[in-house]
Amino acid sequence: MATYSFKSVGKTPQKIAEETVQKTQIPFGVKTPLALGSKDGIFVMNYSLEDQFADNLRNLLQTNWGERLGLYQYGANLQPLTTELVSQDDFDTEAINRIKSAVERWMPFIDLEDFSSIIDRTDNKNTGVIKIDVTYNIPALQAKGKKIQIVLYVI
Amino acid sequence: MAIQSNKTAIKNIRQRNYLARDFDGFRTVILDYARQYYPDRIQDFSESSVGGLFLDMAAYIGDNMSFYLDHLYNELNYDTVVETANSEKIINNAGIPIVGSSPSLVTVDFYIEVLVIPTRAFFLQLNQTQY
Repeated sequence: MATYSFKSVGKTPQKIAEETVQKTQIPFGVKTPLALGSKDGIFVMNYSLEDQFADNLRNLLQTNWGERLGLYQYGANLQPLTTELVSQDDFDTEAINRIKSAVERWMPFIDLEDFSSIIDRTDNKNTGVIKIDVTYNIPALQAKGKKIQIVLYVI
Repeated sequence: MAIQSNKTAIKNIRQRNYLARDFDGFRTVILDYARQYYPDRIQDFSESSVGGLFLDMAAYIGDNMSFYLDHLYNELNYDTVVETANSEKIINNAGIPIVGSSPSLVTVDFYIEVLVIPTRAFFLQLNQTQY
């Protein structure tokens, strides 16, 4: 019967290889929503540009004018539309315009491809939830067909 | 040993720029510093990223402190002071008493031109004198 000390176990070659690969990756930016990191540093980070751009795009679409420090017109400003929801066609047209102009201004390297929205009124007829799906490409990274969903609550 | 400690000392020195005064200046300097010393920690400082937000917040705080430093310095000089309380302090320190409102005094000389209208008695007296 062999006896081993726990101190002599160490790490398997596979584990060491995984950690080495992870350490050589350079973090691009802070992942949102903010979360405490373990070995990344203070916060959990994004290690690929695609994830970072997806994060940034989501933040851009969910930000309204006046919410970003120092940049009043930063954001797609979709929140005011939820108080003026009359018909879905009008909402879609205005939302598409706002998203397009925001992306052209703040993230011009992103190519918007598709837009679809669903208004869910199952819980309450007076209010509802709008789910917006945006499909986009990042030509510089040759990333195609990326999708992001934004949820807005109708007031 | 001495060489080793010198190397360590040289490595630990980080170049900092103290010339920034306003928001854009602070943002540029902090961005340069982060890119120079922490390229392996974070790379994205665009407006859309959290890194850009943190950068803006730090620059904003620097700009704020710089503004109040300038303001405080201006308040020490009687030529540039704008706050009433501070100008009163400067006057008091200079030994000039600040008195309340007082009635004003003025010396006025009045002159009036009086037109003399001759009377009948005056003409009679004039005639007698001619005789």
